[in-house]
Amino acid sequence: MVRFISFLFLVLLSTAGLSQSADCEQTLNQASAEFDAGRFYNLPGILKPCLDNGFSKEQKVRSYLLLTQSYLILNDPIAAENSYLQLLTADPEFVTNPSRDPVDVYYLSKKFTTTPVFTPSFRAGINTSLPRTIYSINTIASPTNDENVYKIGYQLGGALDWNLNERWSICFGLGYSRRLFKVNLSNADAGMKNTFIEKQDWIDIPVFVKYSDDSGRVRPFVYAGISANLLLGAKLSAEAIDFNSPSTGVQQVSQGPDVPITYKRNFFNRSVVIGGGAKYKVAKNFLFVDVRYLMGLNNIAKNTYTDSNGQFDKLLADYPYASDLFRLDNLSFTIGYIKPLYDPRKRKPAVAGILQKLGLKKSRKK
Amino acid sequence: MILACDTPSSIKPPDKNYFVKYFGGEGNQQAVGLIVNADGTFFILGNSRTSISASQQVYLAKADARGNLIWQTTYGKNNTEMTAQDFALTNGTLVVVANKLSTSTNNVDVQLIRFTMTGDTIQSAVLQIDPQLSPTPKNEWAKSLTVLNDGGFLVSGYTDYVGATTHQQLAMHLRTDINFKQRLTSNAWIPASGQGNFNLAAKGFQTLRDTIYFFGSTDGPSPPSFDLDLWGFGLNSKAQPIGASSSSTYVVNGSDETMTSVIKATLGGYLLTGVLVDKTNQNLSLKVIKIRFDDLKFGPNPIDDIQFSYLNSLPEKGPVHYATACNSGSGYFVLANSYNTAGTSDMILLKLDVTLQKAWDNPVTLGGDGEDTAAAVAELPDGHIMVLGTIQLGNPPEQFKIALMKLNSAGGLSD
Repeated sequence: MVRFISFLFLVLLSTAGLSQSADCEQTLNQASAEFDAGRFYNLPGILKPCLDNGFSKEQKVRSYLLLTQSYLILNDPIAAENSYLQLLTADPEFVTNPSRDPVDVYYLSKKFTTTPVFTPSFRAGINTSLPRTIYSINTIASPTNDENVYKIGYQLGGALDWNLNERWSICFGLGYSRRLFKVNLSNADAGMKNTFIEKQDWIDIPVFVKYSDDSGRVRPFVYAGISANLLLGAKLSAEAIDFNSPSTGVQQVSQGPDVPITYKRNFFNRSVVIGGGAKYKVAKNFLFVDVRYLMGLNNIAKNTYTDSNGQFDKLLADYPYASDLFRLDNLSFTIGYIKPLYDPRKRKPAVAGILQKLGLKKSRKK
Repeated sequence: MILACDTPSSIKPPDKNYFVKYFGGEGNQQAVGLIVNADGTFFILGNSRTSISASQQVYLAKADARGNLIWQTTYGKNNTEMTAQDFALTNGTLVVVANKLSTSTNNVDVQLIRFTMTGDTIQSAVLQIDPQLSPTPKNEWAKSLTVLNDGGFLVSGYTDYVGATTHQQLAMHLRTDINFKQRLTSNAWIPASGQGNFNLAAKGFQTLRDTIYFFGSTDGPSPPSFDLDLWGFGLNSKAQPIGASSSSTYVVNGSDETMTSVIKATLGGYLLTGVLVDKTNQNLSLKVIKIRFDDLKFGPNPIDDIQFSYLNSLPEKGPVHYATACNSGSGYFVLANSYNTAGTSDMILLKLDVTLQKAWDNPVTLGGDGEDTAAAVAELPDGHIMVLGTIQLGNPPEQFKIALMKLNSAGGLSD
């Protein structure tokens, strides 16, 4: 019985919705007929009930387009602009077409834009890091071969694009990344092979200029800028193999738990950011893929031979480990989600608009 | 500025001013001595055993100013345990003194080996107590090497040759000419001296008047004293006592003092470095004595001399008792073994002023979790400090390596 009542309730609700939609379609058809008959003053009154409650998005667009045309004919530009603004609010991606829409509406549309002022995005992905040695530190007096091995880390974060116009934006990012890299050292003279894996936790704060394609379902973008990189923590996973010890053919392995080596790293670091990718339109939003290269600018290592108290570091004896002086580059592959915050508004002159956004020019009072 | 990139040209090379470098190749090595050359390079002396079943060999290496290996070589044969003790740079060659244990006869002799400046062996000779002396056997253990005024060599050490006396161990002083030809009793040279049961010569110094002063340890004079004391004595050109009063002892009651190093002080006189073992609790402490004059004034505890004692706030006990020192532009550096509460050793470096007062509040500690022991210390002309020692590498510690460390003038591993 309860199931039957529920079903009946849903059917009634659906029927009411369909009925309302059908009524508003009739209202829209009536308004079109009034427009065609030249009775423009009646249109707002006819359309208002359904505009307030009842029109679908597509119907709203047609209604506001009709109103815009009417106000233009009635030589009421302010009302026409307001109607067109309402149209863009209903569908921020509406674009006039001179072959389809009245030419005066087409020209009016050029005064408006719906480009979001700010566009947030969220991202996650994987990365790999490459130490760029500035000075190699070898604790073994005889020559040692070193080999960098790529390791995969991960990152997640968000960004906010400040859109200067449809194509150019300034992007502010904030993200966490776990970066790893591995170094193999081998010394034939000493009969040693050492492996060091460093695990680092970073907060990246990039700022860059981005150029994006503004049309199509797939929109490529490229960007370049700088980044502040905060190295929150670093741990070392070390293994040292001593061959032929204590006798020929026998080896001894030195190993232990990960050792914090944050005291051997600089907290504040800088890098150049370059990257690019493509965003794919899904409804009003986007999915994107991004490839980014952070080129480390500064040496991130310190306290080469000393511990946090400035004393002889036991790592020198345990493995033996002394950090190179190096910059760290990072290549990341990210997928993400963009949620444009559309902002229908009257367009300002391009240069003045940018200057106003940058606070270099005051907006003109109307 | 914000886009400036760190490159080798914008960062000071770290290994120019400080470094830690391990030497030795495969197996275990022990550091023994360091020579700093005028061109900034280093000669390093040590001992090497490549595997547990191999014989120990003399290890000799040359490193550049940044501690990188230029060459390395070993000297020794199977069935012979070689233990390098000291070396000297003379006449464009390196002369090493080592103890040579023949495993077949279980006899220890002294061996001199001459190397070229590129590490090639060009001469060697075995030195012994005069074979004509009795009784036998005679084992000889070298402690140091001195280049004499005539270009010859003086080996200081100790021997179990005791002649007809009641001694158990004599201080040994073997002498050769420039070509390693030993001067024997038939050439009017007495090879051993002693005033107690146990006598040791750590180092000898020849004056221009051909007097040779030795420093070591003894439990004499006869009758034997309660414990080992630091000891100085003088011999003439025939290794005979230079007079009726020809020795001094530096006595600390209740402890055994062992002389481990002696240097000629740049301000004149000598700097003696030794280790004290408290006989009641076996705790270790460090003893430094500055002898004021090149010619010793013999007698007990001469008042002109000054002393420094270092006793760690925590009791130290350990098996390897060693301390050494070097001259500094403003005093002396002292490098010693120090034992932590776990019983493992680290190196400690102290700086003393010319009055043997501490110039640093606390010593600098060098070493990891293993057994890390001191060998040599030197000050470079620019004030940097070179430390040579042995560090046990590994986690857990397992392998001994020779460690050459360059420190800043405050003993730190930084600029």
